[in-house]
Amino acid sequence: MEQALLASANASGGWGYYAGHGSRLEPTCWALLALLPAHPSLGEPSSVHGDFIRRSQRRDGLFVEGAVSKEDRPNLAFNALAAILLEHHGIGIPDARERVLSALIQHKGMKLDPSEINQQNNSLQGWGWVDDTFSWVEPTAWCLLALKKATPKSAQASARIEEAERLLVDRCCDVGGWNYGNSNMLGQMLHPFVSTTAGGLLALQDRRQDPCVVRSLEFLVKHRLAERSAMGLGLALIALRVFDAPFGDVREALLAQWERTKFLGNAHLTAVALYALRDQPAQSEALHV
Amino acid sequence: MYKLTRRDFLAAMPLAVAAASACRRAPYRAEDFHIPDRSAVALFPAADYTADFADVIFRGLQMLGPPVKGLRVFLKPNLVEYEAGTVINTNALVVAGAAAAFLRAGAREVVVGEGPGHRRDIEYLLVSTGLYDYLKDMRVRFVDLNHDDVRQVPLRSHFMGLQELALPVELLQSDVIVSMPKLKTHHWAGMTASMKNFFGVVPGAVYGWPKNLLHVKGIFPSILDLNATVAPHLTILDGVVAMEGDGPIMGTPRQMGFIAMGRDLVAVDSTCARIIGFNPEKIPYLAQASAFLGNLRESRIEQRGESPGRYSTRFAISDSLRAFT
Repeated sequence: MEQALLASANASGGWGYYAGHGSRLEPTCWALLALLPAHPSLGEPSSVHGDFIRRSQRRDGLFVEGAVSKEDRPNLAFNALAAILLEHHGIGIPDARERVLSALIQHKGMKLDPSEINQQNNSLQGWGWVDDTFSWVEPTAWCLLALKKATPKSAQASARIEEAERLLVDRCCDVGGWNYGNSNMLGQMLHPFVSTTAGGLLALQDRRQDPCVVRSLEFLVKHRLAERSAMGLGLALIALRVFDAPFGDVREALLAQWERTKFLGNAHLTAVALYALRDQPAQSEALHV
Repeated sequence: MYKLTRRDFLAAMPLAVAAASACRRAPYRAEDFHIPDRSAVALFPAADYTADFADVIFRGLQMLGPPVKGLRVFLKPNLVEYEAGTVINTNALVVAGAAAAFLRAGAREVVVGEGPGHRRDIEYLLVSTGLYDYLKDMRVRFVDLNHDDVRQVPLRSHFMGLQELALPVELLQSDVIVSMPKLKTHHWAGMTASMKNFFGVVPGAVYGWPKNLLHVKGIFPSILDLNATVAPHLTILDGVVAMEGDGPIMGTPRQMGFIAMGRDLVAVDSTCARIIGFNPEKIPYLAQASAFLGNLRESRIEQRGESPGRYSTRFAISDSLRAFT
């Protein structure tokens, strides 16, 4: 898995979502998170990988890779992942982490009027995937985690953390866990999913006594093997490890899943799986608060 | 504060679209589009998913075209979410049958691609729906449209108010683009079929999920601009078991027993709308599309294969969808 990931790096220093594709921010961040513990030289200031990260950062602090720069829609969740990478590994880029965190604090999901189509607090603002869209669970979870990991925290950052936590609790399904955006729609309760729940739990890992977190962890433990994919199993494994919950069978399932991920050529999820499978605590603490 | 309800929203949509089209110049160049005098729509019986879909679809290709010999064919099924016992997605057997039919018809390569609007985890969807195993056995490549490389493409119509959109390179590099939807009700759009299916080509990694840009710009304008720009060549609709009620995810299965095919997506969707008890002229995107993309009126649709009357019914729908009937 590690060799496949190393081999799929582009000469430009980044990784594409799929082997042979153009370099993108999200798979590059996951690849570096997965590889740097065993290959610290990849993160040296002079490395092509650090250079790709450096070149992707705009003047406003947000990262937008060249391949999609014409759209001018920084993906806020992927920027949060970049902030986490920089928080943990630095990669020799001065101020990059501070700049991206400052930018993330300024961006908010849309605030909506109360609606009759679902029962939730639409005034709460987390993060959408991109600007000018509604707050969604996954980007809110990644941005919240990035802000929680950052030290020191400004008053503005603390306020965003507090509101984002309220949003995730508000959107928590009644059986625990998270759907993508809402917990209910048009009078029906929506189902939680494994990957979104793992993300929500990572973001709320410092609130373990909160009933929403307790319910969600119960859901994840019960359904940890339900989503057979590198993303579902990988994120479940990462979250279960953070919560000190048993994960042995998830690890086995993730290893068995590798053939499918490889057949699809998915470099991004190979990196997620490799990160999840790192056994030494020091090698997998980037997503710990 | 006045709160817009779903009923208000749906009731106002056809009126708003009609008013908009009456008051402003069409957001496309009429000379860029051509509607045939008549459009063929074929219905083939398929009582259940044990049917020989490769044979059914191959016969459809012989009847309707387009020519595919030596060409690269892109199949775009509708994969949204997996839940056992539901009919949310285009059935994997229909997709596999189509791939086999195109290869038999001489296609140089068949590629299957989708970019689900909610679920990023395409590996899970492929495995859980069974499509992964079929594609692997047939050595047919799958393209994750949410995360593919992209290229900026000028839009051929501008209902969304945008000039261009980033679209997946694998889609753009294909010679023949085939919509492969599941026939379902849709709580916002009335119904989802061949045209709405193209929401899935918009890359989530660029625009976010659930393709929020499209919802912010409006579902109907988005459907029109995507179909005008992608210009699909054919649709193969899974109407074997459709979805009625609260579609496109929470609805209930409805046995229908047919595969619909046609090169005019407006004509196929209009025919299917009539079959399930909707009035296509009251579905805003179909009404608008009939001005520049295809034929909506029965008098301009040539029915082949089975008669639509054989399958005609009224889907169970919520009160708010009665605006489309």
